[in-house]
Amino acid sequence: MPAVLEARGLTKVYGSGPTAVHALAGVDFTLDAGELLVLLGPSGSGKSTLLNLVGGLDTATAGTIRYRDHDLARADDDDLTRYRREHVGFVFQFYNLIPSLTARENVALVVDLVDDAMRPEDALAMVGLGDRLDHFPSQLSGGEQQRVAIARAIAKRPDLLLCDEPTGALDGKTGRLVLEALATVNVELGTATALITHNAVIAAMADRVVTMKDGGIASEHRNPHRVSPSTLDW
Amino acid sequence: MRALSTKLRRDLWRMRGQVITITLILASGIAAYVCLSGAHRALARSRDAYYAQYAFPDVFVHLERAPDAVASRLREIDGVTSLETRLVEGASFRLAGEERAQPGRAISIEPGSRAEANLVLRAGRLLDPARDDEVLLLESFARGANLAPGDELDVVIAGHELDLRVVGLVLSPEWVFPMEGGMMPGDFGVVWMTRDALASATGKHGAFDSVTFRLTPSADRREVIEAIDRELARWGGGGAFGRDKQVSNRAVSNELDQLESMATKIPAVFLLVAMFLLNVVLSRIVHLQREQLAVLRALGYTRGALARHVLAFASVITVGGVVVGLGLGRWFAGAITKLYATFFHFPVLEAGLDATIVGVSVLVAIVAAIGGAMTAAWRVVRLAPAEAMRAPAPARYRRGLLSRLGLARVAGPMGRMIVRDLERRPVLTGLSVAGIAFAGGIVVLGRFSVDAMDHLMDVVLARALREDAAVTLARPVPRAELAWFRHAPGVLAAEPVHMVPVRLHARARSRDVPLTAWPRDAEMRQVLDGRSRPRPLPPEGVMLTALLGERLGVGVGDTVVAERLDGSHARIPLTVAALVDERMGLNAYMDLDALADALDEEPRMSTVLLRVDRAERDRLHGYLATVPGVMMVMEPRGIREAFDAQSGQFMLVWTLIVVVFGSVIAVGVVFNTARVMLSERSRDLATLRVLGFTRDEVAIVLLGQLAVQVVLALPIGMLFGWLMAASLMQSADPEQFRFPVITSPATFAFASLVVLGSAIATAVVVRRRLDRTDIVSALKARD
Repeated sequence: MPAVLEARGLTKVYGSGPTAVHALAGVDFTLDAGELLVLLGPSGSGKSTLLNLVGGLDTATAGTIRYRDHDLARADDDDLTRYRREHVGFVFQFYNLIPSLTARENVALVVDLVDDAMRPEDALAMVGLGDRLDHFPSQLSGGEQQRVAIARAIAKRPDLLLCDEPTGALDGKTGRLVLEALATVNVELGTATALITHNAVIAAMADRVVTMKDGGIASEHRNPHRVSPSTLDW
Repeated sequence: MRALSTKLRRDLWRMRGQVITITLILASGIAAYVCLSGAHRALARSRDAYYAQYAFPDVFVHLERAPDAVASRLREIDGVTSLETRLVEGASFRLAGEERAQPGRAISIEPGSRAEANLVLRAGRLLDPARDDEVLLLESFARGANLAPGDELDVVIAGHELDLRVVGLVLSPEWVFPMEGGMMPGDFGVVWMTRDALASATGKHGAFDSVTFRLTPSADRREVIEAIDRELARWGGGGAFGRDKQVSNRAVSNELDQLESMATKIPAVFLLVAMFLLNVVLSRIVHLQREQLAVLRALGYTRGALARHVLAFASVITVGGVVVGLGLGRWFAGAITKLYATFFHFPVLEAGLDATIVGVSVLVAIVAAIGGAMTAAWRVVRLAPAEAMRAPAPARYRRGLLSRLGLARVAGPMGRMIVRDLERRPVLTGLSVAGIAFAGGIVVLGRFSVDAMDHLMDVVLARALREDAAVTLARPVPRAELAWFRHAPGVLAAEPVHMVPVRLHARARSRDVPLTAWPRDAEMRQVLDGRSRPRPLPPEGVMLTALLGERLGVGVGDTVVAERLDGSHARIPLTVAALVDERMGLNAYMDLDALADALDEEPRMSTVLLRVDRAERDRLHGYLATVPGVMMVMEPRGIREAFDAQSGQFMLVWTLIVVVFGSVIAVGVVFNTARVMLSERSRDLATLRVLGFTRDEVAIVLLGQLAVQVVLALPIGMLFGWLMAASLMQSADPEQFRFPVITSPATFAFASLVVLGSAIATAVVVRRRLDRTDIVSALKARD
């Protein structure tokens, strides 16, 4: 499959001089169209930094990132904003919903930004929340909030879906529901999905698993077949 | 506790923007209090010391003329310790280079007398008893007219043109605020000359027409006044009056009363705002630091230690506010007192700042700080370590009224966020709106006196006093004499006005008022009601101002008895034909013929109103200055010019002060509200940036919320300002002249500009901070 996103020699250094922290040290990374990729690794291994660079939240110290015809390494703030707006969906560990907007309105927030978006109701139905449209975040459980976040991320039919510890704040049962929603979206919309976790069990649902350590890629393997999230146990 | 002190220091430094703005608001409140109270005390003390040292009389009376022998009978009145008889005449000062004569007074004085000792000699020497061309001149007038001892002075008294020489410049407690006859102090001149010299000009040898009295401390002033009036009834006594009705003293007292009233109201606003902001900011700190504080509790710090930690934050602001406030206030007080000194002429300006003012400032600042820190300290005390370590649940929102009305749907997602956030915390929103509104209100309050004066000048002067010149006659003359004035050079039309001083009685109540009459078909005078609409004079009976009716307890159809105070003391029953809601205090009006009928005499007039050919104006003034029966010529138009010239600088400084105060509040409230919002919303705003919203779009959420509050605050602020002005006017004696509570659209626009300008400047700072927010770290914040 063709790569949607390709990074070469990606380096990120925080600070300078003797106190400098090398969060990423010359990483080569690709994300293929339609694939579900799991990034494994302990805290501080550099996976969140990689995801932030790939998602256009931050800029690299050195190296290149190409998303199709965009050169993210040379993009300015406006270009990155446009890139996120048009191509990227994010899901975070703590959901990051806007508390003053209902589930439907949280999703509608991104629908207004792009032309060919899903209806918020459809996006919420896809994650199994068709009956919670008008609830505020404070009226939803953690798992429900995270599924609203997924609906919000996919409603604009992004090319990339980036998830940073999406089950980190959830119990096993709720976490499985969230992962099922992600797998469904990946299959039905064909969205290239990168999922960060330190929970190795989750790796079984991926097409490809990349393991990071100390700011570099330690290993990489492809699963012969994807396991349904409902069968995962932790 | 060293660790806590370090934390406090760093917290203060990190939040320095908020700390500084709140400190400044507190400081402004204290400065306002110190400055207004200080100026009030300085002026009150200067006045009291002046009156005591230079024997300001207790009672005054003017009369037609009485032989000197009458004085001994007055001296026998119970309660009178001393009295001075004198001649007081209208005088016109013809200054070199000036087209028109300036109005004023000539007062007789015996060289070497106690009365002379009660003048403050500022330059030159006292009168030489052997010379009858020497005068002492009021210092304030001399300064304006550029006159010094040794200069010649051309004065017209009772139609006689006198060439006089200024030998000394003086101040007098009777002329602290030199003004008489008109509403405004113009360039009003006063000269003192020997009794013989003045008697020669007026023909009043061996007689007096004015007396001042000093009373014993225990004397009943009312009884003394009645006794004086009885004695002088046959000599044309015009009704004795106390200090409260003495023109200069009344002006000084009114101003002092207003200063005193402002000295409590304005600072109270600042302290309330400071308290509110301290509360918001400290509560936010406690909320943001709940984990840190919980850890400290877990480590073994007591509740008391943590509560003290929060209070210490507030006390730094208090100490800063007091120090800056006292310093600024002292400086402002000095500046304001000096400005007042350009109106009020005291020989010595006493210091106003004292230990009481400082003590009250400190006390009030402490109360404000404790009030502001109370909620936050209480939250710290109640913080359970384990509970605090849990992540807080998402903020609860629901559909408020505005959302249900469909506003949120129309507004789009950004608008929805704004509306719901404002609705979620109505109290906080309301308080910050109120805070911003106070900023506008302070500016409106500060500009109100300018507006009221403008209104008075433009509406009342222009519509009620429509003559070009008002000629006050030395004594009333038959109305037939009008023909003489009609033929004076440059006169296009002339109308008569007759003013009779009366004491109106209704059952046991009475009030001394001017009973003013003119022909019903007159064009140059009008009575205006509260909305500045003209009210015609009734053909019969008397029209009273509503306040006078209220004070006398009479209504339309009732009868009042007018006791003449211009000599005869005749008692005339009058029917109240109308009440008018006029703003000028206590007045009674009648048709001229109706008055003549009631008094059972030929129609007379005491003032002639003239419409004048502008080209002939100076000639007319020159001519009138030589007419014996003419006491004073006033031009309504001149009042405005004199006022502007005198008060321009005062108004400028005053406006500057209120703009600074208003801006300090507006910036303080907007900045602190914005900072708290920014800290509460940083995660939401970062999320929006991640979702692909631009910086401009994200800024709309934050700044839009501020804008809504500012826009809501503007009209409320105008209302606050109006209410504060009205309450300030409540403290003025309603029986005296009262400013209309009027605020002009220009003031509203100006106050709105001050608030908007402050808000926009603050928004720019906040916007820059927002742009600097790091998306990645803001996303990780859990709250």
